[in-house]
Amino acid sequence: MTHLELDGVTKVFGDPEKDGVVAVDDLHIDVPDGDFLVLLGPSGCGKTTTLRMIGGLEEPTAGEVQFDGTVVNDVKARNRDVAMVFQDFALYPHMTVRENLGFGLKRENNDMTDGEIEDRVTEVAEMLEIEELLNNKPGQLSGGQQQRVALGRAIIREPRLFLFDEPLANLDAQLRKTMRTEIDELQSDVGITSAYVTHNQEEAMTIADKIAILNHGQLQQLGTPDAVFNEPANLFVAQFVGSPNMNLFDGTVGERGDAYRVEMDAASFDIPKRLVDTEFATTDVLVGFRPQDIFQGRGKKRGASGPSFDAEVRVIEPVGTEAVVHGDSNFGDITAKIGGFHGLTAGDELSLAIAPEHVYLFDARTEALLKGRLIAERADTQPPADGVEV
Amino acid sequence: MSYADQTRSAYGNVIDRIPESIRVYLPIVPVMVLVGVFILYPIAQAVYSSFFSKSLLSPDEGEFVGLANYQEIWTNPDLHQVLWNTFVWVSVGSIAAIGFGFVLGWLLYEKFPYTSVASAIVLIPWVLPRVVGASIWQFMFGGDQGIINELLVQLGIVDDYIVMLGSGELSLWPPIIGMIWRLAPLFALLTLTSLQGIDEHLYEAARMDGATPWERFRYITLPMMRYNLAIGFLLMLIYNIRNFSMVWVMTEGGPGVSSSTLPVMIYRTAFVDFNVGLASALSVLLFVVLLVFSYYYIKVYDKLQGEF
Repeated sequence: MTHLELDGVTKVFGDPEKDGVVAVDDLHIDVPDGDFLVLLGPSGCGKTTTLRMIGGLEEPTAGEVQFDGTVVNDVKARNRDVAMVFQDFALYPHMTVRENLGFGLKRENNDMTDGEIEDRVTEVAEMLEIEELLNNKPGQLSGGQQQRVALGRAIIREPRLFLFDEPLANLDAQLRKTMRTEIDELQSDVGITSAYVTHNQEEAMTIADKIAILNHGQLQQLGTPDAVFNEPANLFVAQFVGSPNMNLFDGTVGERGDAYRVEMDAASFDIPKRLVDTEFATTDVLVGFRPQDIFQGRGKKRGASGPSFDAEVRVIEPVGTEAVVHGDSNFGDITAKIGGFHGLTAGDELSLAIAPEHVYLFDARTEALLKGRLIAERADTQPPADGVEV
Repeated sequence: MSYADQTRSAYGNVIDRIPESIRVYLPIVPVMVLVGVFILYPIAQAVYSSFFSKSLLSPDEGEFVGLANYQEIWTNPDLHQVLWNTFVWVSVGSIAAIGFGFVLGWLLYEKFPYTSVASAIVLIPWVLPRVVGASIWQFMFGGDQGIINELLVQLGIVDDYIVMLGSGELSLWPPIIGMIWRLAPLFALLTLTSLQGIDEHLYEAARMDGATPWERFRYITLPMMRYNLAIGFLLMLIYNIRNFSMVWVMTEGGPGVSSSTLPVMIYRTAFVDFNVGLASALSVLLFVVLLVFSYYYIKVYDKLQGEF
């Protein structure tokens, strides 16, 4: 049970004065007791380095790592009482599962007798349903089983913090989803503050209480999965979160009565001012909308005044009851997610529209968010549910 | 037409007539012939010769003496000295080579910046022609111009130059030192590669599990290296017990038999004393010891292969 705080944490590899590489830049993150934090970002964004600094495997160049308000920068990894699950599991190959699980308990300065350790090992093995495997060595286990042992080795010590370094990256897609749910449940059950590194935004969205999105070592946004999806702090976050990627087009914005007039190359539309919180300091904007928010049909007919356009279907990627459609429109390339059984083929003409509530606007220069995707309560008219009503 | 059919027609039915149970061994015949001529026959010949009293000067005239040559090994005090020398040589030489080699390998792994260059340099004693290496040590241990004597005098350990290679009491040790110098690099390289083979994450996992540096060494490093170390140990034994050049170049096994080991004694018996029968008996003895070492070597090697 630990309140984790990163206060201006910075990590420079190499000589900071000369050509050192800044891996993590002045990071401020606050993780309340029992929370599940996900560090999300592309390769090389500093998320793993951040995790390793929390664990004590790397020393911050500047800033403080605090557990419950106590600075732990100088506390060695082995004394931090933190457990870590590695991407390649890092199970001790020469030890049995039983020895792997018990290793940490035997190292601690606790008063547990061998019998108590044995009981605890059995208890954890039962919890993870690996009691049959206790006498096997890691080499004899499947990937999923190894993953469970790695989890067991972490929870058995009831540490102050759990750290997960891409723990699911080495598993196949099916197993990844199962283990994701299990990790989530496990963490809720034991209530131990956790930090979890991944580059998979879907994994992050499903598992996190809070997501910290990093790029080039800098924190882009710290927020709930809802917030980073609907109100991304900037263009980077908007593009990194959500699948398929957001559609983006150049545009300009001006005022017209009680609305903002957005002019794009091939279309123009109004956004009522009540939908916008920010003052616009610029006229050049990037207009974005998510493939999920695009619906078929004429926007105006439905009482909405968002952009509408025609598109010719180029490629269809069916995903069960939905399909991702790539098309050519008068805006340029567009990606839409169409719900239901569509019966579309390449070459079909589609009429598409987006509700103004769902349009994102970014400052074209700073790439900061001007207007996010508003959730239904704030809009007057109920926008259509994700996907399409045909 | 299948490949088998083609083969059959090409060779006619000569091969066809050979029973299947014999035919399957045909492809290994060439290798078996080579092994037979160059390995099995000499072994058999040595065992055979060991039952005869035979001089190298007249190898065709031999008198069958039964186990007399083995009895000679059992009773001759000179040969006892040689066996004892061999034991000292192999145990001290191997343990010291392992000790120095392990530390050197560890330093290469932990401390040296350009590991590949550094390990190439470290390997020089091992790759140097054996006689060259041995000659260097002979010069260094020399009685009147040797640098080691000079060093001992400078350090105040001895008052004046002492005879080492020509002294019955000391002469065994300089070649052992030379041999440690030759073998330690090999063991260092073995240590280095097995250290490099250990996944860095295991150490990190152990750190997170609360293991101290000593515990990481004790519970991760050592067990992960154990088969590599065992193989290295057996290699050291085998190289040491087989060594001839280091002793021969430095002391020729003398004075007397004070620095003779088994291979040196075999050579002296056969080619200085011309006693082929006794030399053969000594060879058979060496062969049996090597056979035991090799057996364990292969056994450990199999374990290593099956481990991870």
